[in-house]
Amino acid sequence: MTRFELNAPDATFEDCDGEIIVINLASGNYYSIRGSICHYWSELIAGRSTVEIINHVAATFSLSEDDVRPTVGKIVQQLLEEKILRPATAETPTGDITISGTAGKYEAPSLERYDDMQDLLLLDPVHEVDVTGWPHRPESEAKNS
Amino acid sequence: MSSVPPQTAPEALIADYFERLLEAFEQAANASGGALAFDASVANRQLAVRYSGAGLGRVFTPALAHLGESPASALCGPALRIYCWETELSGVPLPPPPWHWPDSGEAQQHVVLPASAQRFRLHVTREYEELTLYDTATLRAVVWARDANKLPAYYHAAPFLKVFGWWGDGEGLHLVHAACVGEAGTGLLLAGRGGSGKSTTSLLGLMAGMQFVSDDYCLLESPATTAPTAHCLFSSGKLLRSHLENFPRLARVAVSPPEDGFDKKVIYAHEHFPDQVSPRLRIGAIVLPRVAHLEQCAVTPASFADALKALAPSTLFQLRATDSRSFRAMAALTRKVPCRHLELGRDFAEIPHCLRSILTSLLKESQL
Repeated sequence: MTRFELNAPDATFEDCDGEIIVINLASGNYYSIRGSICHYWSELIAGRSTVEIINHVAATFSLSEDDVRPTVGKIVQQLLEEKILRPATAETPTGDITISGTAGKYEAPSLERYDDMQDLLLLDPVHEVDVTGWPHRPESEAKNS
Repeated sequence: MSSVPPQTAPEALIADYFERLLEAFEQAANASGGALAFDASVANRQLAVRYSGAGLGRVFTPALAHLGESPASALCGPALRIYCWETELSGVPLPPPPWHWPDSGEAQQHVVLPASAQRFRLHVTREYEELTLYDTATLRAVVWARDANKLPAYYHAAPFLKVFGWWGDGEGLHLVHAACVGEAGTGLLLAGRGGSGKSTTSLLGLMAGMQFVSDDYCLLESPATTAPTAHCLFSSGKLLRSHLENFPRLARVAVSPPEDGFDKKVIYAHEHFPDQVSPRLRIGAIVLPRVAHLEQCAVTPASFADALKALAPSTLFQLRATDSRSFRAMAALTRKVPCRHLELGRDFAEIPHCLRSILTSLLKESQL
């Protein structure tokens, strides 16, 4: 699988002109993504294949694909592990890749994770609906009704 | 009032329970000789709180007492109505809920209702035996506590916090974890996680004569416009008991609600600085205080990414956001107004000067 999308609604992001800030509402972690990959963020989460992105990065910054592949592959893997991305379900985007901002000099991608807010979630844990639906009437009440 | 959509089974179950809670409230009020009323306005919307007796009023009203009633012509939208009762004084028990309590032993439980019952919002705190159920369709909330005297400091300092957050979601008002002080109608939104110095900075501003909107939570409105606004909810300020020795003037007037894990005392600003608690301020800048252990304070530019990282995570995770609307609003604000770091030095007297210097620089920039 080489196509991904944002793991919404748990993951949400803001493009801060050269830095992508991502919040994972479910885990309590938030992230800062930096580097030239930020120019490709909208393409990445729209389901553009990583192969296409790697090729475009290499062509744009006059690098070899072998130079780009390990770092882009690594951050995509990290984003998957952090549940920021998930395998794409939408159709593959067509047409040329468009990058946001001015490309400038190539900067390797980096992902910084902040977990200093997790204690807030632990203070007030969420109880989700289970597959059988919620709430249930207490059995004793259901029998009596 | 919004039209009520057709009910599905879980929603009907919760709707039925909501009505039973209201009936229990009425019983409790009758047992206490009739409901007590607190009417006010928040962010130009009417707030109507009804208590079954004086006990919960003593907990919830002081931090809201500064909120005056606005003339009807100044109000927009339907009223937010909150009904509160306690079992201890009234003898009326909590009706058995139509669900099993998850047997996790956790002190608090933020219960997410099924998608088909999203009309309602529910929060329970088992440690203090408190339950809040809010109906987004009718803008009514029921708050129950077994014993008002056992509710800890944060209920006194920030009453109905969950309700205000849920209600704000439907009103274009975003509850944010930030302090706000200012002058001449322009405010500085102080953002940062707990312990960053928001309360200290805002209370020092208050003591120096500045307008005060919040030390911890406020309602953000119109973040993407030229007049983003911070609305005041609570007049309370909180300081660690160990920190109060640095504030002898506040230490004399701080009150001690039942202790909780945060070990803070509460100051009701409107009681001691009545002319300075402001219903709202236009946000001129976002300031990110940070305890720096320096001799002197320092103000330096901050990027809007810095501001977003200081403001959004603590708000979203503390208030349990389930979608990105609030995040988008905070991001829009950080793009709209200047952002500054404020390194807090040891000389507390300098801090209000730094706040005023930021406000002065904003004024100069606006005149260029």
